[in-house]
Amino acid sequence: MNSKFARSAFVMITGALTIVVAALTQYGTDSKAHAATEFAHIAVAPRGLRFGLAREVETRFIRIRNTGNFEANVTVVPPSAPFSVVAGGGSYALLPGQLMEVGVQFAPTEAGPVRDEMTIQCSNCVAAPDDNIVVRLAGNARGAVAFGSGSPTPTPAPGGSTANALPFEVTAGSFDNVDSPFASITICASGTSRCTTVNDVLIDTGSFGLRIFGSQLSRLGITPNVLGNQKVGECAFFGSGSTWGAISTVDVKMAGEPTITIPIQVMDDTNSFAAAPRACTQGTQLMSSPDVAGLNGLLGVGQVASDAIFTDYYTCTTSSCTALNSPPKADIVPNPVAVLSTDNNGVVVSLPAISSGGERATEGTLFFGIGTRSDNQPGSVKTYAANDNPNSLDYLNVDTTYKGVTAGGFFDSGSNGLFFNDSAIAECSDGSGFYCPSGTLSKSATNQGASGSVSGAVSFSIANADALFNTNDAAFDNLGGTFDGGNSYDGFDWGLPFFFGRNVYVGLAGASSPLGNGPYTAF
Amino acid sequence: MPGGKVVATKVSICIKQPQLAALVMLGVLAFAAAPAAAGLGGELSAVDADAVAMRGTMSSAAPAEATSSYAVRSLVSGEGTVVHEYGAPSGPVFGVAWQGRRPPDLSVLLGSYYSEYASAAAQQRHPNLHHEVIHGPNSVIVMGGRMGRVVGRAYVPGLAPAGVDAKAVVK
Repeated sequence: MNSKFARSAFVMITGALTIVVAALTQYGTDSKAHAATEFAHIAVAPRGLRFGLAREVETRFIRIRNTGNFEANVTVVPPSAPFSVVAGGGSYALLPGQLMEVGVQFAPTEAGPVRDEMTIQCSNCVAAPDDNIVVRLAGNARGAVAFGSGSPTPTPAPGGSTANALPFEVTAGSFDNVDSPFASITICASGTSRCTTVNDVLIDTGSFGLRIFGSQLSRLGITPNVLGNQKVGECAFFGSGSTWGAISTVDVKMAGEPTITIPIQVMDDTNSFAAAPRACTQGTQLMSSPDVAGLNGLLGVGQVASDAIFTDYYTCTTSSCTALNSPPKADIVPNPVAVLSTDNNGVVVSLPAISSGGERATEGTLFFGIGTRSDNQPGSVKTYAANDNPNSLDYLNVDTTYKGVTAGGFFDSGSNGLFFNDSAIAECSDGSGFYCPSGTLSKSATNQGASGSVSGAVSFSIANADALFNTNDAAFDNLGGTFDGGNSYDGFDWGLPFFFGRNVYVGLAGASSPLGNGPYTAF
Repeated sequence: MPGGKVVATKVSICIKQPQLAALVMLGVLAFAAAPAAAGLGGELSAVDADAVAMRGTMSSAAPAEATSSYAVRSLVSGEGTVVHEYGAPSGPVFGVAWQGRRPPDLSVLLGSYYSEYASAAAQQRHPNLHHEVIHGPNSVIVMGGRMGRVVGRAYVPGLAPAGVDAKAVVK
């Protein structure tokens, strides 16, 4: 009986919501019809945050709402330490009626009271007082505080203080990259204490499986897996080229998780494996070395449990390879997350908000599991179901609408920009495909779950990429470029800039979680 | 015939002369038998040969509006990648576009412009795993995507019919 009651209550609530939405729509239409001119106006509340005596790192929120009838260009000017903006920071456009919650964190490092202020700016609001709205901040502490154990939402915890928290850094690394999240992973020859820690391993929600260049593992003495008397090889396809190398089963240690023993791709940069078959390169450039690829390894933690349906497996002699159409399960490269004993239903990518001018280095955390521990509980998020038909070209996509056109969208920490075609935005003169508008642009796109029920707008900014690169910073939340070089919008790659200031939940296909069954992305 | 001499020297390391002659004959026969492929710079009427080279089939699904200035022909490669080729009715293919699980064989699809792509691509790093733009002297190649879904296009602005913006129409 309880469930029946719950269901009818739900219907009532849904009905009430529908009425409210209808009323708002009506109001919006009326006000527009009567408004003589378009105007932007923002309401900010509260105008002060008192954190009191902090016992642990605390986050509180300021709400900014556009109460005008035209998009408002908002900039959040962050306070200084020990206060920081952890969500909703930067510059963006708020659509009429849109609400942004700005998370302000208080993380005192010494005893005593602290006061500061932060500013919410609106560059095009109708009323002068909106130009600079000051929010006062106050807090106190008896000494330095740490992150609490019972935080309702994941909190970046640099240093991997909990077993499932893998710290990473968005930094130029050894390869002078931008917007590349790099972690360190420990690999051991299986069952031995011969181990090495590989740095500059890219965290990639756009692929599945662990791939490490062989030169990084040379001291371990590992060998390719064999089938009969032949070695197992693999080719994987990425947007910019292919990776090629042997399959080798090794021990992998990520953060404080129990060691897992899994096959990985040992990308061949030492010519110690058969040459890549022609069907692997397809005439494209092979990612043949860390320098060429700009990474030492790839940690593919996207929405699928293995790479089996996306890649090609081979059996190889020392000189030639034959396609292996049904590789044994023991040789199929898994998404390492799917193999973990408990935190195996997805990941949370957590990055603080950053300054719109960029930052030299930004610390983030990859949490394994969703709702499996106190540090990866989903807070209030929207869950966007991804296309779950493996035979569809839209598999794992959501619908992303930009300027009225809907196309496939995906959330990819391994992409170093927001990539979408808009011929109205100037491309940089160096032909890199990045955008170089003369001034920072405020844009918005709307994501809709593949099942159609959930939708939400994302505001973002596109700055001049040349100007960003000239800062020598490596973390940018406003770097963008063309999706595939065309004039018309045909897809949206929500790359790393999207992840700043968010906890992004990536649910594995077929796995259950408090946010439902994957594949999904929630934020 | 200094060129022929060099080839013979190279190959004769592992193949005896009579076999080499047979191989050359075979090569000539194969070349004569295979229809010329299209790809960038080729004839649109020869796209069928590209489908054969990619172990695929021609597709009747019209991808985009054709105009009086250009036509579009489509194929699906053996690996399921959808390819569109754009060309003037009596002119060369000026653009190609693809989407699928993996890239199509660019050495076929980029036709006579493959070498300029290959040399330009070899000279640059690929620090973005999921996105890349390559400029040849005459061509532009853009590709990107994630594991399981890659997209790309390549075009030669100079081959497009008068009044046609290759960047705008190739998709």
